[in-house]
Amino acid sequence: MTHPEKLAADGWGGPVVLFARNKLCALAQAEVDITPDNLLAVLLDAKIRLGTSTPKADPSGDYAWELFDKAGKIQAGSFEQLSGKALQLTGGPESASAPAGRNPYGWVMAEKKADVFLTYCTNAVLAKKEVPTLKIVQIPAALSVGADYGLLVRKNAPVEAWHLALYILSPAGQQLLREYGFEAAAIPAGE
Amino acid sequence: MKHQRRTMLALPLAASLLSFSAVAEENLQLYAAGSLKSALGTVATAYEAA
Repeated sequence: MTHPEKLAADGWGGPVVLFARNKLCALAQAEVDITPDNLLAVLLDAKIRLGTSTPKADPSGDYAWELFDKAGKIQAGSFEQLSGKALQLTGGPESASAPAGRNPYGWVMAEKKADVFLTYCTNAVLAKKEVPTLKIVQIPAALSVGADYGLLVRKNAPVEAWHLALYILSPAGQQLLREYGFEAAAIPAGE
Repeated sequence: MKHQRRTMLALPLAASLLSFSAVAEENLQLYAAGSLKSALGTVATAYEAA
């Protein structure tokens, strides 16, 4: 929410409203027995090759390191183990490039470069579209990291802009965001 | 009178721009960036069709 809040503080418009979140998910090969409940144990398993994006070059890599930090608070030594074993496969200057038109996360997993890959849930959805055998596993709350996204309407914007903002927050708009892998919470229970 | 409506995406200050046309009474600009671009493009298209 930093950017929209900066715009609001500068008098560009407002108020800022949370409309979606993007969290880290685990993208796993079909044969890996991984669930939200055993996720940390699986990531720590020496036999599991753990892929991430590149921290400092890609926010998704930074979030993976945040997850490792949370893991270290749950189980001593986890940060060192996870950060030490993580294969930084995407997002960095040294990363291999996916073929043109391929989703980089789907490609690294199709090439079996990792058993589990931590990336944005939105990336995981795109990867699974290309490689349907992949599994998307939610990160348990104690390890979950991600970003909040806010919207604001410009001062003196036409009334249509407010209609669009409300549409983004409506169940129809929120459902579309969910289909992209975002966490969009403004849908009534039961829909 | 019909005008073109432009919808763009981006809130980050280095904003990207996505535009499309539709029939409307107003001009709209929607800014977003990164992973939001295609998703909000779809939402804006659905809004236009609604």
